[in-house]
Amino acid sequence: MPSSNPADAPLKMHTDAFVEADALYFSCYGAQVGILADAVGVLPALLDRLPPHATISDAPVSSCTYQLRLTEATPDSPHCTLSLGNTTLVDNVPLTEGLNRLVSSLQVAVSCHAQNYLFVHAGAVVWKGTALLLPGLSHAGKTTLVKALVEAGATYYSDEFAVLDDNGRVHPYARPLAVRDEAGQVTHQPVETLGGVAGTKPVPVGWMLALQYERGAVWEPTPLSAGQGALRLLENTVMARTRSEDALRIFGRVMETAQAWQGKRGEATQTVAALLHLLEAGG
Amino acid sequence: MSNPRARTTDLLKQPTGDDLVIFDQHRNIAHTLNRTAALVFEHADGTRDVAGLVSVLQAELNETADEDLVLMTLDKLRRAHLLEDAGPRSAETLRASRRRFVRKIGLVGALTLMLPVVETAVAPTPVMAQSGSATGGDSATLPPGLCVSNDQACANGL
Repeated sequence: MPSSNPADAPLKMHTDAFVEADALYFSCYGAQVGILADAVGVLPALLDRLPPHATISDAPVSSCTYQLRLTEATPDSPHCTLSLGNTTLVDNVPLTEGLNRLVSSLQVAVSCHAQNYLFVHAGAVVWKGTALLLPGLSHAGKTTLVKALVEAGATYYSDEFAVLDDNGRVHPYARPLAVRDEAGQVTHQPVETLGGVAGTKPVPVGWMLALQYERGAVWEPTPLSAGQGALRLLENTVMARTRSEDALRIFGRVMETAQAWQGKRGEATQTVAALLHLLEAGG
Repeated sequence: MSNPRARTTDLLKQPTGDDLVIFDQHRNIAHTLNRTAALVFEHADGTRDVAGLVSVLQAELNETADEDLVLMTLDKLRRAHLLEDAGPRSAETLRASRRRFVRKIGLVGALTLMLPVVETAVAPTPVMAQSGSATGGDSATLPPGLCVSNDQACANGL
């Protein structure tokens, strides 16, 4: 993998048969993922964009293998086709766009193929030794709230996935925060650029808040029972159907230590102040 | 009328705090049952009639438990497809049971906690979990095979 600049990748005519010229394998929370390319020089650009905590693997073992093939294009604009199994993800798009798509897809692949860990769509931070989970689907405002909590001094664990182990503890998935501006453009900001730090160790969950953004909402969260808290987590679990038994057991453990709340929230800054007050008061 | 019998097939159960969380593998939905609902569910094994279930609630919860409370609870379990027998009673009959029981206990105090609660949530597919849409939504960032219509494909390694 001699070059890290995708624009330097040699052009290659598309043919039906995929001929592997380069390969990248990694594991992340037990998920084993492979990326094959039909040209050298493309895959190094991915090395610093793999999912957080990914470990490059020498062994060509994967439960999920992508194929990236360069296609005919102008010399200054390489294009690519990306596929997984028999399905084409993108066909003959600019290489940069194809790689962006691959990077997004890798994170979901990890969440689906993780072994011994359960991925829940939730922001996660640690406050005074215990984790706070903010379950919510994509575009629910998790990143905004997590960013505000980090700026208030919380330790960053994730803005997208709470990674739970069998004991109900949350592990870091500290990808750069995907901060969306008013125009909807996303920039990826490492937590250090916000003045924050990322956690490194698994911690028990102390709080679970299922919050729904509503402009001008009054902060009046209501407590949930343990079972209701488990349901809020299940609703946001990537593999809820295929790993339902694991999910129930793990959420049972989470709710042994966690207090659960739900409600509407307004803007992040006001929410964080009220939320920290709630945590400081011990719920 | 035969004795009430809770479903036993295709259900996963997990005690969680004071609640019982149940995953219905047939419908891919989950329920949380509060203590009253859980007691009726666990003891509705076809050997007890309504009076027998009243006795269970009186012993485990409070002497105030009566037939109306059991009937209300059975209705909630039926609506959640957690009983083997036929559909729920009419809405009017159900309201009458609830009115009688609420009048009995009053609307304040700890006894209201005896009212049965069965809350249900849909377990999402990976696409739903990604997009927030029950219809699948934008699966643009999902690897194909992860699992637009059949998430078993994902479990099988695509």
